[in-house]
Amino acid sequence: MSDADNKKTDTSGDGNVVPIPDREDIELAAAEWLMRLESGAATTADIQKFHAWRGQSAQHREAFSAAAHLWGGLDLLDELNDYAATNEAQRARVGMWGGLSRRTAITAAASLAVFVGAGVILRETVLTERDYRARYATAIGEQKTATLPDGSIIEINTNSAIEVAYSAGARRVSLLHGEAYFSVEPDEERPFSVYAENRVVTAVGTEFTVRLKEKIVDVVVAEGRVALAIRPGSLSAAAAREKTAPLSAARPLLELTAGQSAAFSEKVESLDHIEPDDLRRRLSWRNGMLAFAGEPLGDVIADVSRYTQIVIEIEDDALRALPVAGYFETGEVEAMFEALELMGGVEVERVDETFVRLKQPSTE
Amino acid sequence: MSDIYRAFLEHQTAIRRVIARYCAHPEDIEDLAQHTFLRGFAAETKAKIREPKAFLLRIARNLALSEVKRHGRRFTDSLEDCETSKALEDHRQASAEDRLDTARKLAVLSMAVAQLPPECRNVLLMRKVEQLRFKQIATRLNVSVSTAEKRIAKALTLCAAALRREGYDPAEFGAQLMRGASAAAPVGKPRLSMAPDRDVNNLIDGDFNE
Repeated sequence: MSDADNKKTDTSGDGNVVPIPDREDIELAAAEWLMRLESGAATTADIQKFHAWRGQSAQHREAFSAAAHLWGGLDLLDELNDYAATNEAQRARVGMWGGLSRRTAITAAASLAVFVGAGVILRETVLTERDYRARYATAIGEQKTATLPDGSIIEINTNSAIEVAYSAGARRVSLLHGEAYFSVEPDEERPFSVYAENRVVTAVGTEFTVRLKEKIVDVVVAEGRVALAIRPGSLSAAAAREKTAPLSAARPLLELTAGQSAAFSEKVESLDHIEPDDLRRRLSWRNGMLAFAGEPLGDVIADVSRYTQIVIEIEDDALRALPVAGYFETGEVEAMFEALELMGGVEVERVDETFVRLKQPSTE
Repeated sequence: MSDIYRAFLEHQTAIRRVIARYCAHPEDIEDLAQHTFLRGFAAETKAKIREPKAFLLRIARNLALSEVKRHGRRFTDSLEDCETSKALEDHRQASAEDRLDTARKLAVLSMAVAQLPPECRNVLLMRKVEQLRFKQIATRLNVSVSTAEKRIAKALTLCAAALRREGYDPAEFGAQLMRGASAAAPVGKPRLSMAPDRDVNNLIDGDFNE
């Protein structure tokens, strides 16, 4: 991604450093960033660099927006497939200029912006370096990063709550509700465990995300290994954090390695291998954005709904299956509605401030 | 520049003359000429066209002929009829204007894309017409995903430049999103492309009957 950047320091013919990249350089860099995001090959570092690049000036932002617009506009070329396939004798004149075939996917790269909103630290009690207790919560649409005394980092997603209880022999975190991503500092003597209801996810040094969704615990491992276990009985999260029952009391379920995900309740509900692209998408919320690559609209809305107070209803099942691709800032539901309306041909009925209904266009 | 586009530019007059044999209305001739290009270019995205000029002339004649068939007589028989039927179409379709606009946009975009150097044009078409994923494009070209990204990025900027050169504002062709939201590529069901050696020249002959 650095080709275009490097041009900034290119020297011109007479040896003077050109301080400001010209429009073409910015345009090319914008297009390259867009493609990096499009290809799904963007790493977390790339996305951070992209934010920095785009934040340089209004010109950079506009160049990116213009590139993304035209890129979306070029979807029209899909129509060439119809032109190539249609037998002209059967294609009457009305048909010839008539009906743009319904878009098969909706796309929108909402502009990416820094996520605002500091998480609320409800209670933080530092006892010693090894004993540490804290409780963190985020509101709907809010995200928060907590750095713990041992250097582990917890990124807390929307509408979530966690409690941290470190002691000499263990590092325990209770996920009360919601989702969090854990980057764990290795410490052989103090395993890092995440408790969600009566489920325990344990790691020594690794990166993974845990989400408590109804009664199911979803775990995605980005790096290293984690062990999943169930505590006997059905200890609540609150009980789990108070008791100091050793992990060995828990019934081991299975071990996950990087690139695997599992959903489990009392037993393993599903176990998946996640492609790197998918993994990045699943974790894209950490960058304040949601990325989709053809997921059905129903799933997309379910995900987006976690970040907004607005209740979104999809009227019929056919619409629920519409594949959606794009990047959305986590809070930018309005941008998503616009994209759905304009590119997906979806009718967005704004019933009131807090209720939106998506339906197939009433005409046709 | 694509072979079809070059042939279209070189033989525009001949193409229009062929159409004019069946239809005298200047607007119809223009529309049909544009449509001839689109059909030709669409075919070119699927296979190499051996004789672009002959191919385009054949499309033009077939298009004009199907117009005649549709009207049951030659356009030249009655200019007023031409007008009337157009008015009827407009009446029938409330958004005819918009749709016409869409077809013209497609033609302008196609012409801009047709102007790109082959390596840029091809990656763009792989993504937007064949709907290949970046990884598939990279595999087909035997390059890294990052190289494929760069090539498509280059194509996108050249495409914007081509539009500006033709006097259009690229923004007109963008997805109509507001508030900084902008469009990216759809990830739909990948389309199957025709086998590259398929002889599309025959496809046109198939529906030609005078």
